[in-house]
Amino acid sequence: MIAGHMNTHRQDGVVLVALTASQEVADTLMAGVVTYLSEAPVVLALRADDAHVWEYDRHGRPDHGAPVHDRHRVVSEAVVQAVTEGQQIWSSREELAALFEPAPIFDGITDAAAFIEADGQGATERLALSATAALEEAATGDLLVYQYRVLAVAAQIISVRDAIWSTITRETAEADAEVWRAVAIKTAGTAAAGPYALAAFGYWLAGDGARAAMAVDQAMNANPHHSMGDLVRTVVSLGLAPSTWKGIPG
Amino acid sequence: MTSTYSASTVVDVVEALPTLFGFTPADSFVAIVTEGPATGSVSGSASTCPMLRASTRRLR
Repeated sequence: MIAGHMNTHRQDGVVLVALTASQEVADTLMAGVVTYLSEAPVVLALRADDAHVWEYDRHGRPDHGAPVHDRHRVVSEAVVQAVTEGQQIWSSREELAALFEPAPIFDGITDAAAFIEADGQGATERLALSATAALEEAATGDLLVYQYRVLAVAAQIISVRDAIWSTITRETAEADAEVWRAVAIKTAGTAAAGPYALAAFGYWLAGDGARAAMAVDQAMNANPHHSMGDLVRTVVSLGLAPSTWKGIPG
Repeated sequence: MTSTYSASTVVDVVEALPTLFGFTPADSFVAIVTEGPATGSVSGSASTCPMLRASTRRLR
């Protein structure tokens, strides 16, 4: 899978890092990934545990002649710079994933969407307008609970959801994803899949593969048959670059 | 937002990994596509997965 991701990207080289205390596991993975890489030269191949870093040669073989490096005991300059620029860095993947855990307060979202659809085009258009207004308001401040609920319902009706989806751009993707994550965790049952899928798409378009994967996992947990969730899962698992997104055809 | 961080040593590369993912990866295999000369800045896309998950996917 890892080698497949690397081979689908235009590349000048590849850096490989096995983060594990097990030399045997690292050796096996490193050799396997290097074998399946097509043409990209291995710029750097490493194994690291909590205290040390070891090097591999460019063929993925343990470089027993290379020195062992001691890891820093202080936070790196890159992390300091990232935090200074506003990036949040969590201590573990689990800590970040907890932000995507459901904490539902909205029931009956699917029924509400069905009621609006049955009421005709006028009702869906009013829902779309309300949802658009809520998203615009989210850009400047916090939303009220009923606005989150409007968005949860909007994510269930495909025509409305697609209209909203088409407005997510690279410039707004990260902020939009955060709104949809907030909607998703508040939504109970299978109805959570829609907002989780929109969040996953936003994170992917913003270049945040880790959050995209966490959101799409929750979307598929909520509804394993959700078509948009399945699409975004495919995009994320293939490691497609956000630059490949050309928008929804009009 | 795209930022560029410089890594001047082997250890710096490992220590800068949290900036790619938003968390400190552990028990993972990380692969980073690079652009430009190996001595320059490293940018582009990265892929990581817990080893257990990678193994599970290979078995399917």
